[in-house]
Amino acid sequence: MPKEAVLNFHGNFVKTNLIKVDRNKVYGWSEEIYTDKSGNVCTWATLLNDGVSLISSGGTALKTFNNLGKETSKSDLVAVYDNGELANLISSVFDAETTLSNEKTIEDLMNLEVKSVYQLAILENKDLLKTWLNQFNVLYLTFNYRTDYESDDAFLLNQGELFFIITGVIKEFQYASLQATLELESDAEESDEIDFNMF
Amino acid sequence: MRKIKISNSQNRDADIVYGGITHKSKIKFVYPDRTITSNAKLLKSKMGQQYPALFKLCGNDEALVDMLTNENPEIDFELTGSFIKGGQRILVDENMNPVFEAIANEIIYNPDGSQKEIKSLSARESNIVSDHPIRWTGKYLPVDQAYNKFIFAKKYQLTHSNGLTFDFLFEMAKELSEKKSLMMLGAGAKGNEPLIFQDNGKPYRAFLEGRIKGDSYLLLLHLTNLELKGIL
Repeated sequence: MPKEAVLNFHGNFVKTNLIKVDRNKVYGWSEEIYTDKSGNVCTWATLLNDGVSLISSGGTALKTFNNLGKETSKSDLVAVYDNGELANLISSVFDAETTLSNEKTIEDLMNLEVKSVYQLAILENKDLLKTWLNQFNVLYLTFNYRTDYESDDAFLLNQGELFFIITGVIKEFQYASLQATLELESDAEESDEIDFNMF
Repeated sequence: MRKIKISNSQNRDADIVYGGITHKSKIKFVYPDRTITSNAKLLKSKMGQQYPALFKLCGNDEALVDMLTNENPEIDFELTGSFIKGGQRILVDENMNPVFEAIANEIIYNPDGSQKEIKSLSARESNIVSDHPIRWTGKYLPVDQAYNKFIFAKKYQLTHSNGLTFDFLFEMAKELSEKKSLMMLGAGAKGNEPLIFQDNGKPYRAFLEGRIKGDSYLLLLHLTNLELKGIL
């Protein structure tokens, strides 16, 4: 049974299920297959820098070490903010009421680098939600699918009778002037050097 | 910062730098006394020591269990646990030999999971710096109509590197800002192809947004490969 989320706007509530909108479910997907000259299927491996050792999926592990180089368990660690204060866990959207806000606008949504999209299957007060969105276009919320120390930015919007939550991170873009050029980061979209999914 | 060759509404083009902003997590995991930790990647097992290879060697699971009990074929005592950095992706055959001439195909699936077609995989070359600048398609899309039509998954910011490119970009941003619209961009000779930012990268439809604040500007390239559509 799908979990229910409760959204609260100015003391009124909307109850909904969330269904993830996956690009594959909209357009389908593709898979690359490589074969050798005889038609046998090949697989990807990583050749290590020794030029001899081959590793494949599951062949590596990410481990945490202390300042003496000794492996440590994640359960020995605590989450802290930059200032060193202990971080608080933020509830999943399914575990606590989520407050909607009309303080952010379409411009803020346009600054959102998107992580996930959910379609809402509204259980209660659909008309109320439609009224809110007719008035404000978008409503802002903080979103955690699972309880975590950080939450994503998210916007609730609609397309007529269809309602969506778009999650991600609002980027703080700086304006450029003649006096001040910007230092931007070049992020390699898809590196061909190493397939990190393997790790 | 990387470069893109882009033209304006008058089809004048220039090489412009672009980039993004990386989101840095505000949370870090430390020891209770705030001593910091570090992460590293270690080798667990080489390809020849993993289940598929050992199964092939033994022929069946019973023989493999015997082998695992009596020997340690899954561990390389010299290498297991060593730190790993770098490496190169290669294709290997079923005997773990490098394949130097591979035939690449692409299998396309429908949303319901059924197979649509198999076709030869063609290389996709980056097209953002080529003989054909990225062009304005002439299709303005008002921002207040675009926000719920597309998922703009990635954003790049265009910025100037000298006074000339400042004027070029400022005018672009001003034009778009006044129209409160996005401009769809296109690549290729006809200016109607999606943008590919690096060789074999994903193709994206791109929309340019401009904002003005006094004498400064913000030009954002919104990339999308997904229309916002209901799936229920």
